Amino acid sequence: MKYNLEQILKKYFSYTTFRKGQKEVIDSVLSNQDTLALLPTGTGKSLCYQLPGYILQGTILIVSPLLSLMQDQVEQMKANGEKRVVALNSFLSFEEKNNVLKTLSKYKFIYISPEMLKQEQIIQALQSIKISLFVIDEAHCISQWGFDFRPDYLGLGEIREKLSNPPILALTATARKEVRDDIKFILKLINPTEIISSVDRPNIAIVVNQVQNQMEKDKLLLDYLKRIEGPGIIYFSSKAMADEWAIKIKEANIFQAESYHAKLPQEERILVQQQFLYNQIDCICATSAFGMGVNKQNIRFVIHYHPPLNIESYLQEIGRAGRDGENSIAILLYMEQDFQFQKQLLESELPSREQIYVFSQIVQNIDSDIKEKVVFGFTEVQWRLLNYFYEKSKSRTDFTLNMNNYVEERMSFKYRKLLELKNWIYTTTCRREHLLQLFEEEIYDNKPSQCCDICGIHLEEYSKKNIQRMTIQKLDWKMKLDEIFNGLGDEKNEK
Amino acid sequence: MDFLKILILYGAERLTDERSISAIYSIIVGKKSSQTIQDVSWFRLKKWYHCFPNLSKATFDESVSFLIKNGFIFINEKTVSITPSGKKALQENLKNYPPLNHLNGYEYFNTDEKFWCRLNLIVQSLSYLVHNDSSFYPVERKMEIQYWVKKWLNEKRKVFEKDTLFQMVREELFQIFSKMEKSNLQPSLVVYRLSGYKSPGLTSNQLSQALKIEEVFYQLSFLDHIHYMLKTIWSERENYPLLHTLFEYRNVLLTSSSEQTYELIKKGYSIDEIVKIRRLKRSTIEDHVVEIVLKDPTFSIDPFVSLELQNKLVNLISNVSYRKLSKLKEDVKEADYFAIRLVLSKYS
Repeated sequence: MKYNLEQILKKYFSYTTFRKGQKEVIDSVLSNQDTLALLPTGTGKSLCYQLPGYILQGTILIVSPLLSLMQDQVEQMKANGEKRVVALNSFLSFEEKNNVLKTLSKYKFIYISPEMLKQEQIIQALQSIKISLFVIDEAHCISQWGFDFRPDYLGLGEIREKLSNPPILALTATARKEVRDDIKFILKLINPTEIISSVDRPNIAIVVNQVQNQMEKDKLLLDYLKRIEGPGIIYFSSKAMADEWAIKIKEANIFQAESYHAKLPQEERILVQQQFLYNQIDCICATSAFGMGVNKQNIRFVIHYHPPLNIESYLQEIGRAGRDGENSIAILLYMEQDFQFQKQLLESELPSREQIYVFSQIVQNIDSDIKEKVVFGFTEVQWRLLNYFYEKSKSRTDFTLNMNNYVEERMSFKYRKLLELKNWIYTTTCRREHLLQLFEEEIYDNKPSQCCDICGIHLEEYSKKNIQRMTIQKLDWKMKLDEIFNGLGDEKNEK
Repeated sequence: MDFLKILILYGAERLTDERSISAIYSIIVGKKSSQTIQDVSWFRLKKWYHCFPNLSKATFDESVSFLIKNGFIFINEKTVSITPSGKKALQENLKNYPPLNHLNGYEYFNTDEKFWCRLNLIVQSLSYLVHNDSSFYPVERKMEIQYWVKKWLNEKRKVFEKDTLFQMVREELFQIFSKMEKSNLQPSLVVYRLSGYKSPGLTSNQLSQALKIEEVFYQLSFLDHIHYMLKTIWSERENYPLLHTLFEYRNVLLTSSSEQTYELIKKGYSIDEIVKIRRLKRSTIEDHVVEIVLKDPTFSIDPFVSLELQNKLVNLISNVSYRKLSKLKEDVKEADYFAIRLVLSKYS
């Protein structure tokens, strides 16, 4: 059967054209093929399963690794007018969960976390409805060669069999060949269609600046901020520094800056995101917690005050710039001491020996419904990992041994990934070419004119066009109330 | 010293030598135990009950260590005590802050957050509706709030056009904010937090900076303003046909077991009879009666304590600052503990 995909695109998403790669993925999905798609961040991955949802009979089941990401995606779909969407995760109360399970067939899109798929009750409920597509989002999490390996993704191949073998769509923004091979093998994909787009974003210039010390770094950052055009994001590894710089930038009246990190209460995070989206603020000082689900098209710069932990994260973070296709710039500020700091950070991603011990002591006394939530003192990723290994182990000693071995192995892998990034920072050849080599992509002939600091770029291309800054007016509640209710004011003025 | 530290110091003064430091924490976060509910009544701290529901123990402990280190309070085995220099610091610092006359956590702890979240989401939803734009990120993510607002909007839109509804909300808000301003409050503290069409509200941090006040105190002032709104809207609810439907107001909130005891008392049973009927210990039933006295100001304790004894005890508690039952009993030997608790609950 042939569908007019453009018409459906217009009707449900109000776009007129597909982005690169989307149509190929959708075509493959609609012909019931297993599909592996690598589409860079910001190119509309979710559309690849949302649009088929309006054509295929039955439900689209989407596995997503992070609770916060899942909530964002659900809100985004609801905002677009799709009400038949639900997230099955530990945010649901016992009652809510049962209600959803009872009425499961009324949902067209079901987002689910991997650990939920381990519950027999959930599998039974899913078996009672028709799943027409099984989507694995962030599929690189399945591979131990990926920078973000989640062991609880490993069981997804078997889950698929239990759900009477729906076709799979494995989506990722970043996966090298060995990761892609792992995805195909573990999910048991059958002759999958592979749609692999380039990781390259030609409209983003890449700059790395090496400095000797913190003072020099701070000075350089201020220099850049005074010169270049916003809006933009500055990434920090530390929440405290993100806070500090937001205040500093605001007080110097360079940008309307705000900080964003996991410590902010949720309602403030929502507001800050929205203020950024609607250009009330134009600079975010963030930790890596910022970005997922942020769909802002006109971000002009991404600066890394601290380097990320691997090339893949770097690419995802700079990929938030220039989604409108306009010229944008990515700047990484690096000093030798950062390396030690990143090494420590890297260690904190995995559970420490102390945490493994504490977990083994408390786990037996934890109720199963609390177990689904994250206990204080652990990160979400750590908590899932510990639970995964605990359930697989025969005894407490067995668990401690397995867990420690795993942590050691992952640590050395992550360390190698960090070294790879460091090598790239110290490279003396074109940075873009170097990235493409790492991803085993063909190097193309006509590189963008603003390529990287090694090929040479003109910073003037990115300088501020608009030096007029917002000034803080006196607070006036009547004025503000008028502004909020302005839909009515407009009408009156017209009359 | 930020206002949280001042608040802890204030609590320490009221509870000095009587309660532990953690009693102050329980009051601030609004712990729902009968001990805490009794404490706020007996020590006249009702206003501060539940004023920072999300305060972490770590932040609290940090402030406490600061107060100890500066010699403002010290901690005995079981109780907290304020020092003379602590008292002085408290008086000096309190002067720098405007009073929070409307704050009443004990009365509104169940209502304030819900009311604000619903109001905020209703204003945002309506502002998008009148722009014929139904795709927006809700400022409130809690499912419970979203469902409630959706239901509310559906019901109201059966009766009113969306523009009319929006206009009505605006007029009611304008009315309450104007009244607020006349009562020497600042409507901006609330208005700038609201989100409208493509114009998200300010965070508490941003607004406190714009107002040049510390964030902790801003948050309490915000609550003070919200409580003012709740009180005013409810007492003049005929003037706020929409806003007064955003919250359910229940004065008496008893635990279900106390509720049963209350029903039996209303039917005229004595405490001894209730003990037999409910097969509970006498002390449990007494706890229920104390809870009823605390929550229902119209409940009379005359059947349980003679007027003469009530007078004696009231005289005593208005002249001494301590609230330790054993100490009070030494002064009025003929009173039993139950009588003292009832009088304390009724008259403090």
